[in-house]
Amino acid sequence: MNRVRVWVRDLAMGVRIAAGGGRQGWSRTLLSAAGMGLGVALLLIAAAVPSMIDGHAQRIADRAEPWSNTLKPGVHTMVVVDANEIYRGSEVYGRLLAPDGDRPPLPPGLTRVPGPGEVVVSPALARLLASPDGKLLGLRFTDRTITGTIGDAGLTGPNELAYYEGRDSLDRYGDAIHRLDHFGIRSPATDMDPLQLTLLIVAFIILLLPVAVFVATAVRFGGEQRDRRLAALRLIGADTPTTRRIAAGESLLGALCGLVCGTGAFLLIRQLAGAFTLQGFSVFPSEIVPHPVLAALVTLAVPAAAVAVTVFAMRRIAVEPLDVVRESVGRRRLLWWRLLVPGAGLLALAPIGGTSYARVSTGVVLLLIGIVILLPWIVQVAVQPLRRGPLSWQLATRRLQLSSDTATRAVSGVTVAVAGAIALQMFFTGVQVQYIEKTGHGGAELRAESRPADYPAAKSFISAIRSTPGVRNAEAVTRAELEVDFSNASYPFVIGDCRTLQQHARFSGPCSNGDVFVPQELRDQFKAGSHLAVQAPGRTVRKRLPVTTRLIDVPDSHPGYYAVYATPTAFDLDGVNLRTTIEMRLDPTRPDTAERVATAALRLDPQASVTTLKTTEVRADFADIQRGLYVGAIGVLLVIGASLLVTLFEQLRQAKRPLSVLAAFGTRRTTLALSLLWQTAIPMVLGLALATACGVTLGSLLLKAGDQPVRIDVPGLLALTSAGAVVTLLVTAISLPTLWRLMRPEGLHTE
Amino acid sequence: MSSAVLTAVGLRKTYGTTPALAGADFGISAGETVAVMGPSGSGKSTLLHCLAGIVLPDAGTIMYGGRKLSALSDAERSALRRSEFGFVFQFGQLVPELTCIENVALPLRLTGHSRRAAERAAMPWLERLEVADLANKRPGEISGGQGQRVAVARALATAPRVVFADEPTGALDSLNGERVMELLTDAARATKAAVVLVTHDPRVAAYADREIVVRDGHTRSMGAAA
Amino acid sequence: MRHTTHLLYTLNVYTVCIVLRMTISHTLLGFLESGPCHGYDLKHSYDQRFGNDRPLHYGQVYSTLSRLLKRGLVEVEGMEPGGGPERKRYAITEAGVTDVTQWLVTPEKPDSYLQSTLYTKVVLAILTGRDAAKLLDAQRAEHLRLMRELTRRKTGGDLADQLICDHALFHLEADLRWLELTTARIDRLSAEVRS
Repeated sequence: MNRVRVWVRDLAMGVRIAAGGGRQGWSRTLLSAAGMGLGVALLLIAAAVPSMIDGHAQRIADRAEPWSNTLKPGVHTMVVVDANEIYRGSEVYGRLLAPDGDRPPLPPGLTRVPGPGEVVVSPALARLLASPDGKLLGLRFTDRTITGTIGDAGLTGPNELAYYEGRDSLDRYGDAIHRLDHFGIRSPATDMDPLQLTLLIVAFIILLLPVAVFVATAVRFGGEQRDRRLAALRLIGADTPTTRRIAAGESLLGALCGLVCGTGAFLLIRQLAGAFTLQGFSVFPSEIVPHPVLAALVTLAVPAAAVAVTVFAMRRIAVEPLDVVRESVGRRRLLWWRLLVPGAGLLALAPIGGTSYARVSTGVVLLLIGIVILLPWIVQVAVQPLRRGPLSWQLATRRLQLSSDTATRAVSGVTVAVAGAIALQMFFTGVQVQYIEKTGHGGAELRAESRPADYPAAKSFISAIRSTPGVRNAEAVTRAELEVDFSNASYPFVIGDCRTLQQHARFSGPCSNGDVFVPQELRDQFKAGSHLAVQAPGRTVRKRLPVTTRLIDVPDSHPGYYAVYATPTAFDLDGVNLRTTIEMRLDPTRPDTAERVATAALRLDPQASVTTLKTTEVRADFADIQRGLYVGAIGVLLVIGASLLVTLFEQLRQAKRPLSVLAAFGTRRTTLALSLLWQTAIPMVLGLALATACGVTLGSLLLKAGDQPVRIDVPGLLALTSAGAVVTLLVTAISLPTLWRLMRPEGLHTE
Repeated sequence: MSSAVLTAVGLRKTYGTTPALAGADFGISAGETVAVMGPSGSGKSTLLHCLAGIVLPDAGTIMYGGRKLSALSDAERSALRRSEFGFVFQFGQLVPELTCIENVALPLRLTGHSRRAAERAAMPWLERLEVADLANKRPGEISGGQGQRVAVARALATAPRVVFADEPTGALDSLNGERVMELLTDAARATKAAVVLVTHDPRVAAYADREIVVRDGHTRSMGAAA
Repeated sequence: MRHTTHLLYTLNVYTVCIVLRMTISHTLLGFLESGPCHGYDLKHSYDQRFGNDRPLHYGQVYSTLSRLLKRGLVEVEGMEPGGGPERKRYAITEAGVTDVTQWLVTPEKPDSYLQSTLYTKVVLAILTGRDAAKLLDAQRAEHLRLMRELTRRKTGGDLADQLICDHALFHLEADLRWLELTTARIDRLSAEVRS
């Protein structure tokens, strides 16, 4: 018989044995199938990520407004204003639409353009508005009628909060308007910058490695029983390579069942995905389509990996006809070769010479695999000297000293995940500093914005907001857009009384009504007595600067550096676009202040907007990666939790008899529960320590490779390590009922 | 029967629909060894589990030291098993991760002794059962007979008032089994411990002072010591 | 005291079973093979090894020796002055050695135990309408009591004691197993006996 036929015969025999092994055989197969199924589901989701990203980007592109400054108003054109806001931490996509003619372009997902005073909302927004949580947001739509819902084509996800509002005119929005004759831009080529690409690659590796570790663990579920069965096969004459192949065949059945389970789980998750929003990101099930090549790879790689891992693991076990000898038992693990892999990883990441993605990814993979390889040695060395302590501790440490393999394997997945996440988190926060757009809110929590018809209306808007109970440190600015007639450059034109102006521009000196203040740097553009073009609804009006202007020094760092400051009577403001912005802090003891501010603002100006401010705004594409990371990390932690649980169950079942004997001796439940906890917690603590060390090293190296300053994000580090610890605790807690059950005297029966 | 330590009257216990005990009586005095015999599945082990407070009978009373065992809570019964009872089973009873001395010290540690004190107290028992040289070996490294001796040492280490032995020699050859029985009964007699010995082997039962037979969940006393 | 008398009875029963069957004549021949000796010495050797609580009578020794002498298996090697059988020194002959060898290499025929008093009792009890189970239980208790006593003697005794007691214990155990089995089948037996 040739080699292939021998393999096929033995693998088939293994499959038959696993399938025909009665209840125990099936439970083992199902156990590893469940484990691998979870892994497969996660891999398939990962394989669907490209299509999800593409779909998301395509949807955004489809509804985006093309930029054109040459378009003239016509029957086919429409004016659009961006009215996005953050409501209670969720992004709300908002657009104000004012058609120029009677055949305006239609945004995707809409059947007709809403008329003035009409609003079309997304289903998620409709639900929100109908719920008590949406009360404050509802004020935004006072005096508007909701006439329909946005179809799926116009949304980035099923749970996106979005609306289109019709207006008769958007002239007051000045240069914030977009005039367009169609929606949609050509899909942006995924021109991620190198830094982002590195991040994405690293994130994928980090999320997939624990799954690989997990699949490797799942293959070994119930291994001891299988070894006894193989010993029986040796007795009737099977040679060692045959037993290895038969064992591989048994794993293969589990892997194939795992593929089926995993595909089923994936389809289920896909259907359920529409109902979930993670970090503001929701996906249509129809867009979760695994990349065909990647899906094929998963389908082939998982069974192949199952066979490979089994054959490799069997090398360390000598199955003799009458006995199973574990080579690892009592043998001291060697350190030197375990250092090779992470060492090579460090070398690849070291900031020497040029960096390439291949090099960085290789380094990351090697360093993380290095953890899996190093952990057994570290655990063995660390538990060896443990002697003292209470009984539960003694039971746990003795168990680990005798055989730490199972426990270590169980936590290595968590360790890799946490190490990777720490590195990513570090790299991410380090890089993020670069990408934060300084929004200069100076700690304000709420912003009320109105486009008042004239200056007195602006003044009453400001005083109404200021006098709302609970409002603190309100800083109000009223601006007009203004152009100097010899250039296209536009400058903000800040209008206010002397006190407001002095406060805002931080200048001192004489000021009286009718004065205009021009920063030193702008004195050429704004000469006293010159004519200015000022934006007014639908037209440009000419205004003349007063004959006397005062030059002032404005500090460099001030955001109003390039503004002109004018008292209200300096010139005629009639017909000028005004925008009043008030940023304020809120009294934390009055939780309804934001609602009161909104009410007050909308009473005066139905088009006013009230927005919650984040202190920092992360650039949107970075936010996407961050979201992906969180979604992935949650998935991986769940899978690892499940694998820990399965491993623990198996350990418990193996210790069934000693457990019931201990119970007969009157051992307290707490003693055994604690011992169970220590047994998982000791490798976990060691693993997390190693994960922190590796994660910080990896993060620093990645930052160095990206020429970023190295800083350690302590809260992020704590959050991730605690997440790993929480998984341990949770898993121990879930396995306690099984422990109690195994402690019952039924275990004493031997027949 | 004088100074009964443990008595049981009218014990009934049903697992699912199978009656394991259907009115069993039992009594044992201090220092006495009673063999519980009977065919497989007759309810021998269930009787032992009930007497030891490991399972609660459905009906009947068990009195131990003036206390009604069935009226005690699970925690109280556990405490009783820790401090006043000792156990020897057929096999698989030693904690595989612990060394022999640690296994023997285990019940002492359960009753609150420090590690050091417990192991100091455990050593003489290993010597008495002729396995002192195995103190630092793990159960996986010793033979079945040696393991059973360690188990007997462990059962006796807390100076229990009652030792429950369920087929203590079931997994041993007759020579080893007899030696273990000799050591068990000698040590129990010396410490005035009562021994409830469940066995189906008449030659093991012959080490007891008297025997009772369990048949179909009923007990039948086979006469007191001659 | 009851213990000892009972034990004596037991051991006698078994000595009869074991020792008499192996025949005293072959035993004495065997002793003589290691060298000539007096009838007095032969009795002591016998008592020491196999006598237990039932020593041989002198008369038994001399009647056996004279029988052996007649068959030409032993011869008188010397006689001390004074006459009488106790003065004679006996030695084994060629024929005697052959006889011992023959006896030792011939396996003992295992007992078929087909004639059992106990079985007869059980059947009779059933036939006469008495409680056979009770009879079996009483016998069981008696057997176990004996086993307990033998066990006790064994734990205190030397290797010879242990071996002889074990022999007895194994036989008793076999009986006991039969008792148990019969108890379990008493209903079927009753039905068959009465039909």
